[in-house]
Amino acid sequence: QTNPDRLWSCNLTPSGEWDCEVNEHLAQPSGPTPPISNDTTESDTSAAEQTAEASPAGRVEAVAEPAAVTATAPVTEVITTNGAPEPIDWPENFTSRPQPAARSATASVPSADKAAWDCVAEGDSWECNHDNAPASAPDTRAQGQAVATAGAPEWSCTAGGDDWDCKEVPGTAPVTRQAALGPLVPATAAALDWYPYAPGEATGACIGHYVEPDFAFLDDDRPFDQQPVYVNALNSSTELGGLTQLEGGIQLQRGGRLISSVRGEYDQQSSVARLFGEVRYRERGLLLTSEQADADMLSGKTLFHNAQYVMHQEHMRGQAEQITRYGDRRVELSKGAITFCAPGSNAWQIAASNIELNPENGRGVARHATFDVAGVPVLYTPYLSFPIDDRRQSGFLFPSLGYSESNGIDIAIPYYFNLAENYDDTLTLRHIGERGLLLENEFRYMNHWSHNTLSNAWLSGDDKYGDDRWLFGFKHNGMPMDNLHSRIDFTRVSDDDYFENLGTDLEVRRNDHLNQIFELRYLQPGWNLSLMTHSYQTIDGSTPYEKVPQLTLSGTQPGLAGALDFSYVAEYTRFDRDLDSIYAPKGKADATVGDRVHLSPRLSAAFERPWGYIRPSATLWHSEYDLENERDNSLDGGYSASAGIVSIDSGLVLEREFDLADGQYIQTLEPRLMLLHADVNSDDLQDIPLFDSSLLDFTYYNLFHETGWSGNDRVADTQQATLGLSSAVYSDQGIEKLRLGVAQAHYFADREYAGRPGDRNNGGTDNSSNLATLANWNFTRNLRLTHNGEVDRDTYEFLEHNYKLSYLPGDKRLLYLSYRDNLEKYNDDPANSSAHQQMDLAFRWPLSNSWTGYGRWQQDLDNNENLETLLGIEYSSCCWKLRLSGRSWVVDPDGNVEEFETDNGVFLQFVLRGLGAFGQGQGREFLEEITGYDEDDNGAF
Amino acid sequence: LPEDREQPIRISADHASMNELTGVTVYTGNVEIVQGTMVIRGARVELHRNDAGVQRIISTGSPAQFQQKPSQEQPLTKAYGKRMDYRVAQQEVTITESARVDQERDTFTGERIVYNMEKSLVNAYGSDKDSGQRVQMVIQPKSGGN
Amino acid sequence: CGFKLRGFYEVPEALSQVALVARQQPSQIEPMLRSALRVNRIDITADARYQLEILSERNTRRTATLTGDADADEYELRSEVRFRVIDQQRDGFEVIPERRVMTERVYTNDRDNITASSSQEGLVRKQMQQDLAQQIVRQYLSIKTDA
Repeated sequence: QTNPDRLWSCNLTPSGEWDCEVNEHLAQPSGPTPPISNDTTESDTSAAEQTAEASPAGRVEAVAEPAAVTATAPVTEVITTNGAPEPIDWPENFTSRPQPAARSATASVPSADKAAWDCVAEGDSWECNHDNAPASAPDTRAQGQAVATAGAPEWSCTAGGDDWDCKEVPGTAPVTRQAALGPLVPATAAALDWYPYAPGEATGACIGHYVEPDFAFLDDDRPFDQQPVYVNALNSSTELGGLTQLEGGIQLQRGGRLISSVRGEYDQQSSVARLFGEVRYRERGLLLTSEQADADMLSGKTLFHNAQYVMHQEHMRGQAEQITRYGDRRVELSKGAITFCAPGSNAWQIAASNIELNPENGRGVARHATFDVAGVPVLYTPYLSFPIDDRRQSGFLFPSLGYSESNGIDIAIPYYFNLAENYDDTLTLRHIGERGLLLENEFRYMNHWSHNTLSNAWLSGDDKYGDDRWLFGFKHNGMPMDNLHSRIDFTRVSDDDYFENLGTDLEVRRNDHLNQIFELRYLQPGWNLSLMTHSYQTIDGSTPYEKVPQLTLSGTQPGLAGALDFSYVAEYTRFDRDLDSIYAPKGKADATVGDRVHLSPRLSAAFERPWGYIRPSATLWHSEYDLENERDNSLDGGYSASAGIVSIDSGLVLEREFDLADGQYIQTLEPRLMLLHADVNSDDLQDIPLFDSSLLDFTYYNLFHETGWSGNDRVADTQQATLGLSSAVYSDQGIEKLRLGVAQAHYFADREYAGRPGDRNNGGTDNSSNLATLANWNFTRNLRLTHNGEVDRDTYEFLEHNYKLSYLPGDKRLLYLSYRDNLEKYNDDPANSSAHQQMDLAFRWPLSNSWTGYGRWQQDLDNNENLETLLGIEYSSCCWKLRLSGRSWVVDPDGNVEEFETDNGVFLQFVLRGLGAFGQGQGREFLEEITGYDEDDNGAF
Repeated sequence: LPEDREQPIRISADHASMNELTGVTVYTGNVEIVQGTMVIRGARVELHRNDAGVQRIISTGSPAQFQQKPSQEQPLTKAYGKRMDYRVAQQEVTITESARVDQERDTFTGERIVYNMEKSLVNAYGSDKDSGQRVQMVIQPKSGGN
Repeated sequence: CGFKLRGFYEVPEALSQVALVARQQPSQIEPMLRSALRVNRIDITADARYQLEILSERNTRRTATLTGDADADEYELRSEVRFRVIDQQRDGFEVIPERRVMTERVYTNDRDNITASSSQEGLVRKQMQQDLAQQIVRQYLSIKTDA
């Protein structure tokens, strides 16, 4: 029975239970204080609870004396003690939250001012979501893992005075999927994130690669030490404010760092966590595993004891007695070793008492380091620094070994000092059996506006040569100011045979003249100005004219008065020549040196239509000289030569489309006619020396050249018409598949002062030139055949014909075959040194993922002399390459004896992956010189 | 506080029923029990009493709450969970089913947490079953930073 | 034989403007590209829809033929340019993914007049860059603008 004036009444049920109800009207809600969250789960909602929004006033109060209360004292009487503490309501923040925009579908309770939290029971845990859940809380649910709760936003309340001060805390640590959490079943390699490639997927010689598992790294942009630490364990036991023991597979995560182990403890006072058993520390791009670790949560410094580590991008791993991971991402190893070899291979490593790796600037520094090959220490160095990322990644050339008849044994050991981010030094100790110890040093320095390389070498007392030998080289490329480019290319050697005997860079070895260039160029859209001095050290041949200095102003002014384009070149050059050197030419005229001023303003127009064009042009060509000649001063004095050149270049474009299996093609037929009249009005032309001019080679393109000469000392005086016919085939992407061309010049007068291409230097009397042919055929994107030739105008026989077939797929493979033959052209002067019939073949072909064969064969068919033969094999494992090559090459016979002389040698080279680029010369360029093409693009391993 | 136990227990609820035989009183509807600094809240609270006084308080709710100041210097410790079993004699609260304890600014969650008030020791137990929940702690950075 | 004068065609509106970017400075091919584009009446503005990027340029020289006394008789010049075209309105969609154009030419090394030889080298290099610029512009003009 309900007693009307009693707030609630009870009666004794048969089972001995008291059953009481609340007197409804007394329990009217007096204030808007909704209960904490009345959208309880179905299981325990009782009717009273669901509707009753009891206000504090209407609540049932009962106080039971702790000890004195006897079982019999019914708790029902209401005793309100005075001064009872203000009833503590549920945490304040429940009401102050803005209403969640979207109501969760599972909200069961339709109460009016619904608590801002919208919680739903999921499995055993509450999952409350909130419309402004921090975006950063990674929603692991997205990974399709049904059970894992989202980083549910949590509330953390502290007792502030009497009411509770709660604020919302970013979601607890995302519960990573159960599978990723469990320690991986470690095959030794997989423990280091090393997984073999699927069959056929491997590109380089590596059979596997480091794969970083995708972890839901918490990206929290607060400063590192402001970020909370999320701990996750099977069981934990905490002395409040003191030590927490965690075991059963634990995980600590703070920001982008995650550390897991079998068990551990965390001391809240010192905020240091100690972890034991299968410790794995993970960070983007880094993995550290060890048996025991101490992590200082405040400074972010973590200490690992006998640990292993992996840097995924750098393809680098190592182990050490102790590895320290600093807050600023530096890693320091003491008594450790690093290597770039795959786990399981100890091909080589660098062991050191202390190694510091700094991913920020991509450098590593090792102190008291030994270089071990297959576990055997081979080289000690007190200090070795090396790049650890791919900023300068190709291969660190370890000692190269060679033997040649002329030099005997030749061992080069490079020391590579990466001193700073923008400069490094490579010192090579090179012991040459027959000669002695050669020190070669190359210092490279880069700053924001220039690249500089200082290379010099010193050999004191060459046993075979009998004197010291040295080389000094400086190369500079820079942009001191906007649009101003500076270039220096200076090389000087102690003697003429330096490169012949000591040079390793094949190309330089062939140079008779070493450049000494200083150049400044100021480039503007409409014009540019350049100041240059270009002199040489001549070590063979005859000393050339040097430009000391040359000042050139050239520019164009398009759209002058309608369709006219105006362009001009104005140049002052002082030519000089070393006349006392043993290589100085003996002729009297050769001693002529002096100043030259050259001007050539040009007016041209272009009337273009899709089906054709007419391009008239008029040029005033003028060169003024002030010459002197110490051997024959009758040649001293002023000379000048000028010419008026008028040309009309015209052509038609005809097209037709046709279809082939693989698509639509367009073939063009382009007849071209160029009328050229160059009127030279000076007799001096023949007395002016050829400072920088030479007659252009006889090619399709040069037949259409206006002066027929390079440089500014000569113009062919001619009245001629050059006829050309070319046809090209383009794919629908506009890629040129085939180009064929033939051209011939028809002369209406003799050339009295200077010849055209195909004539002699001082003129020509034929009334037509031979035919110049050219052909480029791209069978596929990588396979191409090129040809150019000269056909006799009467007999239509090839006087000269050259072919080159090249296959360049852009990966390791490479093949070209070239045949050049111009014997017919010189059959009336066979002794001419330019007459040649040579075949040149080069290849680089991978025989397997590890083995690559390469070679070159260059044969002078006419004299049946082998100019160059090279055969090599390269073995590359995942972290090193070995190249063995045998080579025989033509050398300059000492003295002018005419017999053919070659040198032979065997060379062995190591290339180690990952330790940064080695200086010029030996490293990557080796293959480029032989085959003319780059080592595979990025020196891939 | 240790001397909480001498404080009177004050209970308020919408509804209560008493079982003389077993000495268990069940309160339902926003039940709140206060004893000194200790506060227990829940949708349904069972008070077990015998001659020696209150032996055990079992409160359930969604979630039920427990709060107490372990010592003068230490801040309030709070616990939430669907079911809380407070054994007065051992001064131990066992929180089960999505248990959670907040201590100063750090929080612990897990399947089952046992909070010993005397030794102020919190032992949390997770379950490795797929559906089970592991123990989780969130340790706030010290305000002073490092 | 099916040939007819190339019909009048208008440079598609979208292609009539292009932004030109050369990653390597100083760029050998950029001046040639500018004039080749101008001849085809395509003007160069930074905010054009399509951007023609010169990704890399490689100009090398090596000996093609040798004399009996190990001197270079002819040099082979090789120029390779990698380029691509991106659509700046479709956040860098590669309308033409990276492609390579390459040309090789040989010229005689006048051993008695190195200075003249190097000026011929400069001339041949200029012709090669003009040829590569022509090829790049032709490939650019064949972009299907509705793509």
